[in-house]
Amino acid sequence: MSIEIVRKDPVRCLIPQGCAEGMRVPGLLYADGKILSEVKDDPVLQQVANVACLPGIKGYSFALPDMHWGYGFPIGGVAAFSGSDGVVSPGGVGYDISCGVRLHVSRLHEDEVKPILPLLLDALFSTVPCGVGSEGLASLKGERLEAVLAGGARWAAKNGLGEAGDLERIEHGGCLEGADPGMVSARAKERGRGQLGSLGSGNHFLELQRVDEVYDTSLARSFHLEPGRVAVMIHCGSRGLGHQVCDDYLRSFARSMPSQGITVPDRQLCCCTVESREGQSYLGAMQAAANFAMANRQAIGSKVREVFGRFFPAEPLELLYDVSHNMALMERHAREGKDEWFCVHRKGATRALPPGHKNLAPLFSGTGQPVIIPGSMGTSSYVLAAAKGASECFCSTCHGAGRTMSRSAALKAAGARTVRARLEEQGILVRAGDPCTLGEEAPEAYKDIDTVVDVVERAGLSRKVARLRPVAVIKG
Amino acid sequence: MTWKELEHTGDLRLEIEAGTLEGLALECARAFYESSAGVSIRGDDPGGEMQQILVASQENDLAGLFAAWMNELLFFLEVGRGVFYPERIRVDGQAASLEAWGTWGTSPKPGGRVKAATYGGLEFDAGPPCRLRVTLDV
Repeated sequence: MSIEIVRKDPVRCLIPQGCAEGMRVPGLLYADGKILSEVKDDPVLQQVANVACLPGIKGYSFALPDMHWGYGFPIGGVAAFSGSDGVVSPGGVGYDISCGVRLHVSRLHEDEVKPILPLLLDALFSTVPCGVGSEGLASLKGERLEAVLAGGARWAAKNGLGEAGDLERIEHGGCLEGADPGMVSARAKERGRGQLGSLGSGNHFLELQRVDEVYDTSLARSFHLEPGRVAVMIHCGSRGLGHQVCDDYLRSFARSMPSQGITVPDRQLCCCTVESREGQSYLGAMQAAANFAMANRQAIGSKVREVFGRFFPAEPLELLYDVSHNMALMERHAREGKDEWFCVHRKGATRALPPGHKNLAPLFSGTGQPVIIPGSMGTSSYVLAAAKGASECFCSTCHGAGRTMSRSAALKAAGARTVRARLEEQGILVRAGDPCTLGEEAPEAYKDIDTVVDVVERAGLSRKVARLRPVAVIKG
Repeated sequence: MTWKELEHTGDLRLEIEAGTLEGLALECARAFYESSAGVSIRGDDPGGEMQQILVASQENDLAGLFAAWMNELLFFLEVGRGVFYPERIRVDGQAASLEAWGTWGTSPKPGGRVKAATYGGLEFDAGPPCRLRVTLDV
């Protein structure tokens, strides 16, 4: 079925409410002409329309410029549901609950690191587990895993993984208080038990970068980003534990949905009302999985610091910020003059709290929340700051570049060996847990990150602070 | 090949077919292990004691059953149990349940690149031949 698109302004398009049966709100795509040409024949547009059919959805079914075909909800999708009679959907969060990214910054200049870069990279590669089936730094049993699920990055900092000062630089202070480890199945816990402190595989990575260009000098200074300085970006999530939580509740909701009188156009959209027992159970389990992911990134960050400390003992890495891309959160937003609760789903989208927002840590109140945007392998990444215009999209912005082609097409377009050679020609060192993923994750498989970031800035969702270029990458 | 990869932007989408429901279950297992861990279960089984796996669909339909079956195999692979070589499979189409008897073999490492058999775009056609389209999260 072809989906009608109406351009609203140079960076916004609408999918009118009536263009697909059952839509309760319109779709709103953040896309310029280039992005739109890349997605107009992609099933992602039907997915945006499908999400608009769900009960209690408010405003729009949003898609950010890094949108692409997912399962159920689009990747790059945002949807907010009434906190009183709306729904929560595990498919609106995704399997990798709280997949996210953090950026550590340093005062080291690239020239100081370059002479020992191969040794540094090898040390990181041997210290941080990555790749398919990678096992974590600490096997967690019984009460320890329960403590991680309850405490998140706070647990990690208390147990020698990172510093207490990191916590105000992590969303929610590193811990979602509503987590309920009792709602996480034994099977999910078994999958997660050996994985804390591991990168995993696929598009997860650890990247050494240099600050390449600064767009806002004042914000960059506040974020300790100066041209030429070295930074470390870490991208990973809740590993098998999060995946199992999603699967458990998709199956549970599929059973419960009929009794709540809910039908959905795609079974991956299965949902229950937020206030139902099932909805509350999922939110408790999801928050526990998110705590696991935040602890995971904190643990990896602490190991990266240890390795850096061996080479540069006088130059500690500082955490700039840690954000999630896959979450559903109960949040208060002002709509039509009223302050109300919403269950905001972000799937491949980042929360972006503008300056002065009451939920911001005081140190970011003046700047707005840092937003870390990883590019595809070998291309730029960005640091943005949330802007006031993000309130249109329930305080959300993009999360990355977004794919444009399938993995098999990417492998055909750029074989793994070719990708490695091309990166090394650019002076980017590579270590890969699984060499096959290099081809699948080739830059040509993704949208142009510069265009994606440009669109969110022009739309007023976030402002560019600095661009970073990769120097070395460890791929999962 | 009784399964093939379909185009999907974000993940791995497969079309799997066989003459019977039991044959489809076997082909799902083969497709899963080859896609996820690069392991073929077409050859001789590893021997050892016969063990049973039971799976039921929560939605009481066959599409959900086959996704659940692949997720069951995924769980065992990820927690280090290994690769399951089915010798005998029985599918109850009415009850949407599956019983498989087989033996366990080792895998090069725990886990695979597939992290879930999703329900997005899940399609089953009784045919003949029986056909399943499933998207795997990688």
